Amino acid sequence: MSAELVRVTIDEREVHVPKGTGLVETALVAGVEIPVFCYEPRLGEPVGACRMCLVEVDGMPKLQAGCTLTAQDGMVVKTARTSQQAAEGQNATLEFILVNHPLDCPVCDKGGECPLQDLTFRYGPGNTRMSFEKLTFEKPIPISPTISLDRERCILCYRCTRFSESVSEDGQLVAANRGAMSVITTFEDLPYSGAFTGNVTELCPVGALLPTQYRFEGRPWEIVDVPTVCGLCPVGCNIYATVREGKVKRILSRNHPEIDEGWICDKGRFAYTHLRAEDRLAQPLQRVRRHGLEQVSWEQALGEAERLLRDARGRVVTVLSGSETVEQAYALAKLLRVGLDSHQAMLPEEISGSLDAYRLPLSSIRDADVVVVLGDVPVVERAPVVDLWIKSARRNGARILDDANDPAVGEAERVVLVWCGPGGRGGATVAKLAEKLGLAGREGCGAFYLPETPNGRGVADAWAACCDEESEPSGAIGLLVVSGDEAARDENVRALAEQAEATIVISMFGGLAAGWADLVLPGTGYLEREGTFVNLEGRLQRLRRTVTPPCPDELEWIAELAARFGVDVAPYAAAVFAEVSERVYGGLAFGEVGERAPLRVYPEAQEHVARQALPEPRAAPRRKSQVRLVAYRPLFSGAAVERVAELQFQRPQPELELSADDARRRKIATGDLVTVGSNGSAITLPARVNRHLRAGIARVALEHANGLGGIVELAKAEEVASA
Amino acid sequence: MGGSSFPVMTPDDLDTPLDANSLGAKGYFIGSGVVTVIDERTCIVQFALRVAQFYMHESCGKCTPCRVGTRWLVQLLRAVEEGTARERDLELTLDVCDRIIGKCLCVLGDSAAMPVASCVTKFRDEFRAHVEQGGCPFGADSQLAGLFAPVDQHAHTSVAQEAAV
Repeated sequence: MSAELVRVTIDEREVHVPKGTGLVETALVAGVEIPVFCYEPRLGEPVGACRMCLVEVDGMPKLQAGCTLTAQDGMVVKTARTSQQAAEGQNATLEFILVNHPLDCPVCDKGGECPLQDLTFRYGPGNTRMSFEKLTFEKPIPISPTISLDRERCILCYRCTRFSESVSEDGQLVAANRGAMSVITTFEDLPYSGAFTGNVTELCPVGALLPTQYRFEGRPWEIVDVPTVCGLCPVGCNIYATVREGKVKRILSRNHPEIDEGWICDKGRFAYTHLRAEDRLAQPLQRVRRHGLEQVSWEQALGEAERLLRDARGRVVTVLSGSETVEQAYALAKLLRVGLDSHQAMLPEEISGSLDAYRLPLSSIRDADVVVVLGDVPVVERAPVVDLWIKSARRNGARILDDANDPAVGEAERVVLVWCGPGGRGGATVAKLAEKLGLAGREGCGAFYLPETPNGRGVADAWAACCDEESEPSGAIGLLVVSGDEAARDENVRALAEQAEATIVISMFGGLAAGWADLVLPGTGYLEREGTFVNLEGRLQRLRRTVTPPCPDELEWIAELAARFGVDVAPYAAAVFAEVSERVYGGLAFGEVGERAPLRVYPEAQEHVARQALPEPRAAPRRKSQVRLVAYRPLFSGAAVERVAELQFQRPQPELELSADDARRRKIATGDLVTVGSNGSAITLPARVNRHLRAGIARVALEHANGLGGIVELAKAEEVASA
Repeated sequence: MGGSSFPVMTPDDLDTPLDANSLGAKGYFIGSGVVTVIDERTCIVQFALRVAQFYMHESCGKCTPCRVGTRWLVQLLRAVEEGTARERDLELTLDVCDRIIGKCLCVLGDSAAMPVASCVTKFRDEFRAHVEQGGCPFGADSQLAGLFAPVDQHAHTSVAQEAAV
């Protein structure tokens, strides 16, 4: 249903827009700019605080804040271009804004990409009439280890506080005091923490909130913003990598309205310095008897790899991380499967293609009537931006449920299912549920499975598409090829390596391979690769090489090795993709993947059964004293995060989350020490009562779980001690 | 007339009937109906300053013209009272008032600017005398203690800071 069109005249230009369109957007249709600072539609209702958007509207006695108006039929608007009064009003606003602004543009990191600078240049006074002392504040204030606040530069547009209140809904950023003494601060002066804090540095229209990592690191005329896709979680937020002199200096969002709406998480934004971690590998390492790992030349390393592969022909087992590009996975598969007849591969998680019938863009969550979130792992920890979509659905009036049998599910028109946690079988469970609810083909209905790996689906598809032969039953492992950092830090994989005659590890970091690898080949990061990723929507997206890695790209040496086994692998992502695409993506060309990729469906993509992760207990707790402990992998964890000092404050507290029901029955309050245990091992942690948790479920971050999971006994710590 | 937020009247307006229409015809407002009488022993700059200080303190800080403008007015009026202002600062004061009036989110900004602007306009000679004599012509003899609460009445940290502007 299209909205009624209305006629609006802006600066003597007539345009027709749907009734209710914001005036700022209406003016854009007419090719007219209404300058703004505080206006940002993604932050909810306009506030009209900064007064930059003053316009003259026929029939209204005073200048109006254009950002707060919507298009009405017959409206006649004059902006600063045609109205002396509006021009004077905007000039006045800028004069006021600059009265206390330090005008330190030459040393301000925002200088050159600053809306305040740009609008002052276009609409503002050329000089100041303010001759008194300006307001001064202590600065910069680290509101967290990642964000610096300069209160003197702040123009109090309240974008940051509105983000905190109505997008991330953390309520930590607030304005304190009032009038001229108003300042932005964090609640109780605590560090601003959470998954999304960094977004305020992009929302800030001046140099008040800056990413600390980027302070004094580059000027706008020295940098290039390279469009790519974040490779740290399965959402695949669209990003720009700001590059200066061959180094990534900053990550910015690159609004894909269907995926991220321009928000990215702090892991994606701040973890990029892992590329320059101290233990980053540039040269291969080879185990030398009694000396441990020693640096060797690439020639020697490839010779050694060839020897190990030749010795283990047919008995090579590959462990994939799910963070390889489609092209890397395919190239590796071709080398090992076609060249060495070794078909056995393991993924860190199960990936199912059965959700393909229920595909939707993530943005459709926002428009749902009911969102059912299942699986018991916090969505924000696995796929952070999905949490923002669910929050916006709730703000739009949707009901967020944790039970698919709730009667509201049957009554609702648009139902979206989200599975986040154990028992999801790579999406098969939630696909079955969607089928039972009859969601297939219904408008606005669909299902999502939130995997643990950023490109598990793409890797599984690529591995499977490479060759039709089946993997034979596993005998002794001749050679274990461990691809990627996630696989390399997996304890189960290291245990597997002990059974193998030899182990090759492909990793970015020396710390991950020391002690157990026979040969270490340096890996690249997602910001250094050409290639494609498939995100949790099933959307194929394009990664770009934003900087040159310190070592050759994986494709280069895989191609070289493949040649030694008579297999033809192109060392270029575009050529490898062409081959995969023939088999999986309907022949789509590399260049057609797109900078803002559309959600396409690829019928050729098959159902893949990868290595089953740890056995997943499905049984409900049997005794009243028992709960099911969900040990989840926190957002702020992993090889990259571990190498970024500024992000350590974001790591989860050692605590155990309990449902309100379980807490009440055991008389446990937040902060009380509780003990969970099974089979003789136990952990004691402070409790946090979470009323959003289902009864019978307890939750703990993996790094504090001490290996526990599944059905456990739960009790208050002193009871255990006295018993 | 009408409370502290409206333009001041002079003896020339004395016979205006006390109703909304008659006041409105002359550009005044009946407002709260309050009548504050100030005689010639009171410095009008002090009065304007005290009014401006009140509104600076009252400003919530949400919109730019009010948050910044009220503080700027206080700085300007204090300079006049202390004798450090120049003739062109009087024009600037009027201009700042003009740039606040009708451009804020709510009427608090207008309430601050209207009385100040009317003081500067209607008592221009007294303002000019401050500038020319380098200070208040009343010396220490004019005081508003009996008319308004002292500016530091509220024990509020931000007021202590405001007092330092």
